[in-house]
Amino acid sequence: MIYLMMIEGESDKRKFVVLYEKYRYLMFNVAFDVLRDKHLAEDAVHEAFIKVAKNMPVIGDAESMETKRYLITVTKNATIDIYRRRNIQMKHEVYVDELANMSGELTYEETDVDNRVLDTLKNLPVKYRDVFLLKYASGMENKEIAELLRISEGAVRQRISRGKEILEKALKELGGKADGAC
Amino acid sequence: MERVEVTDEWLYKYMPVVNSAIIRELEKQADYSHRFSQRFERKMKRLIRKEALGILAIIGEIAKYVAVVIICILGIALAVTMSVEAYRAKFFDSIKTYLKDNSVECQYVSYEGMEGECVLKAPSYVPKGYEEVQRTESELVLRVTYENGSGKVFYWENLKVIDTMGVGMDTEYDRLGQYEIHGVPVSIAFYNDGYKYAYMEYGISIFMVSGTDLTKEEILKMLESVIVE
Repeated sequence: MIYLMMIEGESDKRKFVVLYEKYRYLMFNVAFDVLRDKHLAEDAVHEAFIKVAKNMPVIGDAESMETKRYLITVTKNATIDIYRRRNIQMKHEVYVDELANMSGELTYEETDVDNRVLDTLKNLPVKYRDVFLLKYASGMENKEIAELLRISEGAVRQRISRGKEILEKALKELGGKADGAC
Repeated sequence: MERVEVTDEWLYKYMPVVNSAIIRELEKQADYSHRFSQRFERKMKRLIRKEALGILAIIGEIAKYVAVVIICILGIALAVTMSVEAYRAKFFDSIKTYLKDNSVECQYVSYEGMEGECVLKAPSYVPKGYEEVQRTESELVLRVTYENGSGKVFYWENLKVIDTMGVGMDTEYDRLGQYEIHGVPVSIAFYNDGYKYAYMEYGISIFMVSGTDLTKEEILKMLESVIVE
């Protein structure tokens, strides 16, 4: 096996090992849900870790939600790459929805809004939800999101704007239903 | 229900709640008893083992434990004219350190004259049935992934040598073959499961090929295609 010495600092090298030990199962699960092939899913995890190794300086606390979201996103990218390689003729865009095979409801922390409002956020189409999660949950800049998702900054801005429109419409409908119920 | 205005502030407040819920659910669903394949474990183990060792750590390791073999291969800085003959000479030394964990670490020391333009190359010959499916390219690295119709993949890498670069290879292969293409040495490591990797220093860069389903002849022919060009 040949590899590059991609990680510069000692603490980053240690963190890389921690990330691998902690999150390989989670990452495998994300890839396997789409590829449905253990070897291909492992390839996706391996490719994701190569990408992670190159970007260790941008990764913060190994336990943080931001790091977990980053790893999930990188795994989704690697999964899409492998999926595309196996479906070379495919022209349309591919998205990986990590919730696609999830059964049951999500359990939210308690907030001052109805869980149905949070479900509306969760149920955004994946292309918008991915951008929203990276921007509003992980606090990434549009430029960083564009690089991670391999789209233009303009596309990020467009997805934010369009995503908000979809949300407003969905919340309005939800409000109407709730009012009707009362 | 109260009317909600979707502002950035509102999203910054509630998207983290949704993110946490999604991740918790994903973590719950992950199969922590899953047994990764030996192939995967081997690839990751090697990656991690080397990622976990910095250059300083490696030096410490050397001092403490290992037999160090340093091979300095003197390159000859010839004319700027990059004829095949000129390219046959290397413009750098490679210092190979053999570690106790069955791996070898290559460090590079460049000569004057290394500033010359380096055009990173993909092979002009590719084994039948394989097509380029992915390319990562920068000033220093060209990495191309090829795949055939059966989903078999191999990787081609061409790296411009710089002094700070380190390349690691494991030495747990079952057999190591040493070959020459037009006077340029090439090493190919063979594993019993069919996996092979090849390594060649040429001009002001190094070439590496790795994959499971390539023959020795195919690897040598690909490497030859960048020498004779």
